[in-house]
Amino acid sequence: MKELDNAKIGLEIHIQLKTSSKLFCGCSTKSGKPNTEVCEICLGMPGSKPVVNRKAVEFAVKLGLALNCTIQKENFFSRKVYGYPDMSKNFQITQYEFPLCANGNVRFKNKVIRIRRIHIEEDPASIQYPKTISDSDYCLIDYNRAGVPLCEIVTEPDLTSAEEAKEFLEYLISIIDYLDIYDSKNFTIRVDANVSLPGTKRAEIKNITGFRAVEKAIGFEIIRQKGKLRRNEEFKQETMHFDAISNKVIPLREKEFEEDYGYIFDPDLPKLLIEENLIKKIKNEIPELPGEKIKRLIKEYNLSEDIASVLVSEKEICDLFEESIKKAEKELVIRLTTGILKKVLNYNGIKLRESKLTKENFIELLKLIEKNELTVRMADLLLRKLIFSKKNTRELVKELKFTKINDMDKIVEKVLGKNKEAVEDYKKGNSKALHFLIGQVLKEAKEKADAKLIERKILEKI
Amino acid sequence: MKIDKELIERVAKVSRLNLKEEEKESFVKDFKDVLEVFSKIGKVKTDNLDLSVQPVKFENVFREDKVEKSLNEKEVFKNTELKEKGFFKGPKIL
Amino acid sequence: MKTREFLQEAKDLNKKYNFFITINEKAEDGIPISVKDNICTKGLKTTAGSRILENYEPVFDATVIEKAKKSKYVVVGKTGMDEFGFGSFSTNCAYEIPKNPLDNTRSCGGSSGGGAGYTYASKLSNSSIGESTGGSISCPAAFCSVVGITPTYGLVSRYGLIDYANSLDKIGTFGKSVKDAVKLLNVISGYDEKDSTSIKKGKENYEKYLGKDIKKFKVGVIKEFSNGEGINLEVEKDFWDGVKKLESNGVKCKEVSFKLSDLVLPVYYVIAMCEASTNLAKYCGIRYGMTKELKGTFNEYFSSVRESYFGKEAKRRILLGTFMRMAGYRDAYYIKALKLRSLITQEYKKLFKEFDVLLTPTMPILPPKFSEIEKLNPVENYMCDILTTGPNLSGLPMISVPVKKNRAVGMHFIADHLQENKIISIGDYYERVR
Repeated sequence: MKELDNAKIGLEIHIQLKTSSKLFCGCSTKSGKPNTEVCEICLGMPGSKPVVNRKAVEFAVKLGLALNCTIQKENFFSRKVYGYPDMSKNFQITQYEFPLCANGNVRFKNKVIRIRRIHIEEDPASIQYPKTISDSDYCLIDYNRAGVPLCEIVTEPDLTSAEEAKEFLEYLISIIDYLDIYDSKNFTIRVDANVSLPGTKRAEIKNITGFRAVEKAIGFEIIRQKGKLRRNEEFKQETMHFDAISNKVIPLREKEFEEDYGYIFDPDLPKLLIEENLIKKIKNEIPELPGEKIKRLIKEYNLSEDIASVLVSEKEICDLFEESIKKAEKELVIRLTTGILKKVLNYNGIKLRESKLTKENFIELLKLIEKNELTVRMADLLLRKLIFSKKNTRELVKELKFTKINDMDKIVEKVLGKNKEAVEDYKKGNSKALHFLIGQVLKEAKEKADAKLIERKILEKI
Repeated sequence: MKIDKELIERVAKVSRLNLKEEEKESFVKDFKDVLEVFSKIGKVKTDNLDLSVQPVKFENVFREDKVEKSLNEKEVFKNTELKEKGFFKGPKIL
Repeated sequence: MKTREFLQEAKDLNKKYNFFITINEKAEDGIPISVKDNICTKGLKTTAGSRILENYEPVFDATVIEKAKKSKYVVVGKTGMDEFGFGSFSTNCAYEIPKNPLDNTRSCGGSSGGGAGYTYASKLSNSSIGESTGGSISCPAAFCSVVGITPTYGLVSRYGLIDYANSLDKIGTFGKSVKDAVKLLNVISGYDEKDSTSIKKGKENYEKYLGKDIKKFKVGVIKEFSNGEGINLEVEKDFWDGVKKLESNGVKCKEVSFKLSDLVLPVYYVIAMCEASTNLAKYCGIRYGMTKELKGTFNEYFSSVRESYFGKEAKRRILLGTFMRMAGYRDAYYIKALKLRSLITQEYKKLFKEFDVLLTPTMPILPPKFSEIEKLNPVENYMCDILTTGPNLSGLPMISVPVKKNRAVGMHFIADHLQENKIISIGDYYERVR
């Protein structure tokens, strides 16, 4: 069911920056046993004081530049005051009136999604419950995560459907991936979504984790709001929570009072003055981003937008493509990168940069195919090993004992010899017999052969 | 701006402070007296003045992204009995 | 200096005057000093004068304590203070209230009362580490007839100081003489990378500013703070006698008007309370500090703990501070005060173009009796800080020197940022000629 494209959806996306140490102290950002990466500063012990991690600021500037924001020359940290067990000082150090970045934009499909602001803040601790959230008498708090640097990206409500929001989010993350500022493996993005329809009031769905959940939550909320409109019910601004188990959006229990964050500038922290030289230096560190890359790939290699999009989804795959295309035939390279390699990586749930596959091994693979020493099917099997193996292509080919295509002739002849009846059947017009014969050859060759090639050979010989 | 018990109750909630009835009354009076003195500051013009977050100029104070030693378990939990299996115990959420 | 001697003396003095909340039974040999109880001492109870930290033992030393220990100083004990620094008479101490060694029916001043009292009364220790937010070193220095130095904001590291108001807190020193206070300042001052508001400058030896001839100094006596109804008659008389002493020794003193004198107190308190209300948010009965039975939701639990263990003045300042940062009031109070601080500092800087130091009495009153203090309402209490809040607000260095030996009236010399040399030289000079 196609939704009306007139929802107003804004996202607040929290990205954990991959610095080695926390935002305001030297504790490690790696996770470990509970409360082992903590100190007096991130535990909020009286007397402790914060000092800003330079790298976190540089990463945030990089992010702002990549999303076309204006980097605010002077910006300040603020205290957002509220009580909650995950806040070790009962205030969060964030940026309020004067954030690091403002007024950016991301070109997405045929639209421009505006970025209202990006700011730096500290992550709260993580809370667990001895039983479930509603029937535990107390909670258990691990402050390892407390103080890890976050960037919060706030978009304008320019997205118009749940699907669009999900796709935009994926695209945004792929851009951020290129910047190498966040640990995609160890961190799930956290999103707050603001959703309204014409005639309704804004609902804020807090703390949604993962792309699919974002689409489900927003989708559910739009349906819920439409229902209320139909029934002529009254609307009020609400805060909601997405329950990933039931896939429902539930209003958060109304507090007995309205929170007032009472922001002050953090008097322990000097203002940040971002100089032009720093901005220039960081700008130079930003690689070609997906938007420009797609355009260039289409032009330079005469690719379709679909193919270019797949390539661009991971910077390393694209780099591999561009290297390989110098050494092997274009269509083959496309098939192997966007088809086979991407499939193998997805199946194993890893990114190319996390695998052991090297450029040399991949190009070697392509060359062997071109020389007819390997089929594409064999390349598929080889890739599944190459992504985890330190060995090179030649070694693995030997190890896996792939049937050389010359040997193939012998096997085909052997099978045809043993199955004269099937050959006759085929000649009489029974195409199933051909499949049977192909199957027999595959069995002989212990699967290490390409079905299409076998078919060709059989037909040659019959 | 009306200074009354309702205001004190609201401020107390935001500040996470329980107050007894007599305390609320006495704070209403305190607020009135004190804010009368403090409100004087409203009379002075402050256009074009910088915000003085610290009284002395500071900017761009950073630490490098190096990992330093964390506290050991004994130190972490030295000042509390509210702990369980390596976690801090806190009050329930709902 | 033998340990048992100074510990025994501390205990004896405590029986009479309650200077200490905690005496350091584990003290070893060294130069004995007392430390205000809002400065973290590793393994030694640190309460900030509050019940909510009654059982609290820090797991780290404040930077000033590390420095003191390296220079062979030893902490005799942690001195009594108004809870978190909230007060001018140390009567808001949740533990025994320190008594004035000159007259035990009177206040030591506050909030660093215990430290000033001990410095005066001890025969074995001649200096102490104190802290000032709005005048909490100067006031007790005057009331207990000792010297108190409040350095430029950022000169001494605040790492390990339990916060009252981060943009106003400064650690400083008490001494029986200017020299004693200066020697300790030498030890505790200096850049600290753990404190983001620590001034990056080379280490200075402040002792070299002692024994100087300051006749060419131009002293500006602030008119509004040195005459008239706001000042007790005895204080006024002693003060002007002191001014005459300077003049008869060749120092030029001229009366000057400080145009914003009406603003300093409210601007100070607005900023101080707003910051304090955020600093005190962390005390909620988890991770450290006093607790209650863990029942109720987090807001209920926090509110119950804080009600039980905060004193009245702490609650008052939390409420006022929270109010003045709330949406709808924030611009009129908090933001306005931050802008006015710039204006006030500018005004001081104008005066320092003409004068080397500014001068006023330290306090407008003599040390009050405890029975008198009980009768004061909050506004009257706050108004006692009228002479010290201005320089504290702008982070200026200042020194209070007793107008005469054993007299509970102080001469308050104030200089521009990082001009400790001037206040030390003139304070020391006055001490010689008074």
